[in-house]
Amino acid sequence: MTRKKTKKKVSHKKTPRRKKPKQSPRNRNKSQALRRTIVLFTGISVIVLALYVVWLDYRVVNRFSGRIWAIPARVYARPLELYEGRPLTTEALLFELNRLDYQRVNQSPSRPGRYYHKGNVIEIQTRAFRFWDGEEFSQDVRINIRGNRISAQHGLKSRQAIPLVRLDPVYITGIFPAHGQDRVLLKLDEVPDLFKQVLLMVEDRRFFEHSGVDFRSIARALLANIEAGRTVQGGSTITQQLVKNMFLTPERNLWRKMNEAIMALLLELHYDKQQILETYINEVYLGQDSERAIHGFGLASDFYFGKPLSELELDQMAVLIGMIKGASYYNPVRNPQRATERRNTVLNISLAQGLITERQAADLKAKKLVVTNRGKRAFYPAFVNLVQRQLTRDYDAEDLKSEGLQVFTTLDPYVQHVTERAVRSTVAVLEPQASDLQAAAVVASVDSGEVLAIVGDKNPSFPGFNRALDARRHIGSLMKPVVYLAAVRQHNKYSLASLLSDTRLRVEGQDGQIWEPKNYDKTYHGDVIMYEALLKSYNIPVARLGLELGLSAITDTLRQLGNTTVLPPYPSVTLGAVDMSPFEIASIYQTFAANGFHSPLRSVRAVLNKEGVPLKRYQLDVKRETDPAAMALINFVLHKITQSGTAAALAGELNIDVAGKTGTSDDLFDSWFAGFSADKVAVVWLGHDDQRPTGLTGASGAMRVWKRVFQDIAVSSIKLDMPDDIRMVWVDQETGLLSDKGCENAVKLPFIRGSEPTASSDCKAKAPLNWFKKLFK
Amino acid sequence: MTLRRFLSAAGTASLLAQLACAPAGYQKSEVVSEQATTLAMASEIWQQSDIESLPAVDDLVRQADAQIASRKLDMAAEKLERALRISPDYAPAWSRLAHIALAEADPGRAIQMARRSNSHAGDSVELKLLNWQYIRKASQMLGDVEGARNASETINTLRSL
Repeated sequence: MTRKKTKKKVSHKKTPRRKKPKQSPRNRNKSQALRRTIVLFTGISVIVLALYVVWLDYRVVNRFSGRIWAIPARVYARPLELYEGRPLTTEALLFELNRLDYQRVNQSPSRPGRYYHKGNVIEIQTRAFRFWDGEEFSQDVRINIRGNRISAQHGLKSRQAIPLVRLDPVYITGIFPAHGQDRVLLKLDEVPDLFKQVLLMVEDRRFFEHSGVDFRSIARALLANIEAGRTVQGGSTITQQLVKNMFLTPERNLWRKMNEAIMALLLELHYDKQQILETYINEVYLGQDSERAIHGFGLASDFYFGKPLSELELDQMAVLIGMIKGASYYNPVRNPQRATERRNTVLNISLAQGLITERQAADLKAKKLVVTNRGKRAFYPAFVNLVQRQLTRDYDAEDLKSEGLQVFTTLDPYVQHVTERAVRSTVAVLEPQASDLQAAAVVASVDSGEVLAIVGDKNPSFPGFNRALDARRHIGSLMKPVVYLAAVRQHNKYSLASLLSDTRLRVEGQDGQIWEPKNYDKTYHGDVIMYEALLKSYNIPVARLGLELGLSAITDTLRQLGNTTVLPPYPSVTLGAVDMSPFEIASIYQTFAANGFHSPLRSVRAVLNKEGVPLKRYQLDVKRETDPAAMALINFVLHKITQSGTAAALAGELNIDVAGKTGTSDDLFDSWFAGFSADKVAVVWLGHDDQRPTGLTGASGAMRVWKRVFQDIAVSSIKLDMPDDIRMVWVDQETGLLSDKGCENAVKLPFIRGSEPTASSDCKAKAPLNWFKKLFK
Repeated sequence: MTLRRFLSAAGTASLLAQLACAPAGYQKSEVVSEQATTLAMASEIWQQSDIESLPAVDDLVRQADAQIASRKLDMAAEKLERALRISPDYAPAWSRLAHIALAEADPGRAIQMARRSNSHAGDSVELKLLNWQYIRKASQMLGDVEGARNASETINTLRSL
C-alpha cells in the first residue's frame, strides 16, 4: 500500500508541464531541488518505516517462536495413595483434601475436586493428573475408614472394589527468581468453552473477525469517551492487549499506540487466532503475591480460588475476567466490594449476550465472593531448601527458575503438619524454663529413605537458618548404639552379656589433657553387662569399650550406617563429642530402623519437563553392609530402652512398639531423640543457637516432640522377631552368666549363635535341684 | 503366554534347576532367548509365591509385570516402588527389582535388591533360590568369584531342603 502511493506521487511530480513556462531557470532549479529533497525524504522515510516494521516483525516472531516465558519449577508433595488396608485417619484424609482445595459438598460429588463426608465415610471425585508414570484419570470413590485404616474402597457409581486410587499431589511452591512472574500454563482446550465465550464477550467481541486491530471498536470507544468526557471504554483488541503486555511499556501515547497496532497486525499475520488467544490467557497479569507476579488464568484460578480453571463456577470466572480491567483495583482479596461489582458487570454482559438466563444471572450475582484463605497455605521452607539442594546436583539453578520443570517430592503434608504442631506446642511448654529454645526435626520413611517432613526452626514457616540440615551439634548418647554395634559385629569377642567396667576412667589425650568421663547420675556402677550399659545410657562403660575398639572400628561402623564423618581423634568421640546435623542422625538411624539396609535420605522422586515428559526418576536405593544379626542385637536394646530404659516415659504413651535412643550432650546443651517404628524414623533436636545449657535431657525435651509426632501419625509396630542365626537366652543381668526364667535378675537376651555365655549363674546351676524340690512339694 | 503355560506344567522345581544350570558364559545370540526364558521362569516363581499381598499391591505388580515383559523397565521399577511403599515387606516386588537391575546391567544394585527380597522371603524357598541365582549372576558380572561361589553353595543348600 505505502509503496504504491509513493510511486504515484513521484510520477505526478515528474510531469508538472503547465507550470514550466512561468518559472525562471533559478526558480526551476530550486523547485527541482525541493522536489528531489521531498522524493529523497519520502524514500528514506519509507525505507526507515519499512525497516522499522521489519524490526517489529522480528521482535514479534522472535518472541513467539521460542520459549515465550520463563516458567518457574513447580514443586509437589507426594500424592496420597488410597487403598484398602491403608493406615489412615479420617483427620489425615480430610487434611489432604483441604490442602488440595477439594470442595466439600453435601451429597455425593459429581465433579472432580469435590468430596462428601459423613461419619467414617468419605466420597471423593478425584482430579485427573499426569504423573511421571502416566495419567491418573478422575475417579469417583467411596472410602470407609474404621480403626484408623481404610476398611473398604468402592466405586461410587460402579459399586465395585477399587484397589488403588491416587489423588493429585499438593502443590508446595514454585522455584522462581526473587522478583519473578509465575504462571501455570494452560492449553486452549483445557480452558472451559464458557470461560472463553465470556472472556471474548467482555474484552473483544469481534476477535475472530478482525485482523488484530478493530477500527469499528475504536470508533465506538472514541464516541463513548467523547460523550462521557473521559476515558470510559477502550478499543483495544485482545491481540493489541497481548502486544501491549508482552512488548510495550504501560504509558499511553500515540507512538506506543501506533506500535501496538502495527505489532498486533504482524502478530495476526504470523499466528492464528487460537495461538493468540491461548497466549493471552497465559500472559495476562492478574495480581501480586508479595514478590511474585500472578500471570495467566491458570495460576490466578489456583491462587484466588484454589482449584483449576476447569472447576470454577461462572461467578468465579467472572471475577477473574473482571480483573483484566485492573488487577489491583478489582483484586478480590484486597477490594472485594469492587471485585464483586465488576463480577456482576461481567455477568450482566453474559446475560445480555444470551450466555446465561436471567435466573442464573440473579443467582450468581447474589453469591458472596469467597476467595481461598491464603493464610491456610502452608510454606515448608526447610523441606524446599532440601529439595533445592538435592536438585542442584542435577540441574542448573537457572533452569529450575525458567524451564517449567515439575518436581515431585516425598513430602507428606500431614506428617509435616503434625511435626510442626508437635514442635510448636512442645517448645511453647518448655520455653519458660529454656528461653529462646530452638528446634529441628526430620521424619523419614524407614524402607525407602524418603523424607516425609522437616522442621528447621521453632517457627517452622520461617525461612531462615535450616537447623535440620545445617545445625551441626554434639550428638551425645546417640553415638552409643554405633559404638555397641561396632562391638557386637565382633561376636566372637562381644555380646550383650559382655561385662564392661563402670569404674573411674582417666585418659590422657594426644594434647596431654586428661579426660575423665562421668555418668549422668555421677556414680559408678561397677561391672555392668553391655545390655544394661546401653539401656541406662551409662557413659563410662561405652567410653572404655570405644577405646578398646579403636577409632577405626567406630568410623567403619558409621560408614556402614551410611555416614562418612571423619571422627576427630579424641576419646570423647565415644560419648558423642562429634558434630552432626539432625538430618545426618536421621540417616544413621534409618539404617538401624531398616535392620541394616541403608537408603540415602532423599526428597525428590521424579522430575518432569513442562510438557509432562519424565526427565529423571530418583530410584529407590538400598545397601546393606552391616551384619543383620549384629544389628538385631542393638535394635533389641533400642526397643527395650523405650520400655524400661532412658526412654521408658514412652511406654504406655504409644500403642505400638517402637525403638529409640535419647541423647543429651555435655552440660545439657543439646536435647536429642532418635527413634523409629517399623515404617517411620524421626530425629528431634532442641537446643540454643548460642550453645547454652537448656536444662533439658533427651527425654525431657526432644523425646516429647517425638512422642507427639508418633502419637498423631499412622505408624506400625516394629517387628520383634529375630533372624535365624539368633538365639534367645536367659542371662543374669548383673553377671552376664547363664540364668533361668525364674531366677532373680534374669533377662532374656538375643545372642548370635556361638556367642552365648557358657558359664552358669548360681541360680541356673541350682535349677535342676529346684525343679526336683518343686516336684516333691 | 504359551511358554509360561508350558513352564508351569513342567513345575517350578525343574524351572529352578534350569535357571540354576544356565551357563555363566554364553553367546550374544543366546542373550535374548535366555532373558525371555529367565523372565518366564522368574514370573512363575513371583506369581506362585504364597506371600500375602494387598489388592493394591497386586494391581501395581501386575502392571509392572506387563511393563517388564515389554522392556519398559524404568516404568516397571516405578510401579514396584509404589507397591513397596504400600508393602515394604513384599519380597516378590524386591525380587522383581533385582531382575530389573540385572537387565539394566547394574549388578551391584541387583545384589542389594535380591538380599532385601531374601530378608522378607520367610519360608519361601523358591523365591530365595531365585534371588540367590540373581546374586550369583550379579557376582559373576562383577567378577566377584568368592561371592558367586558363596551364592552357589547357598543355592545347593536351599535345593537340598
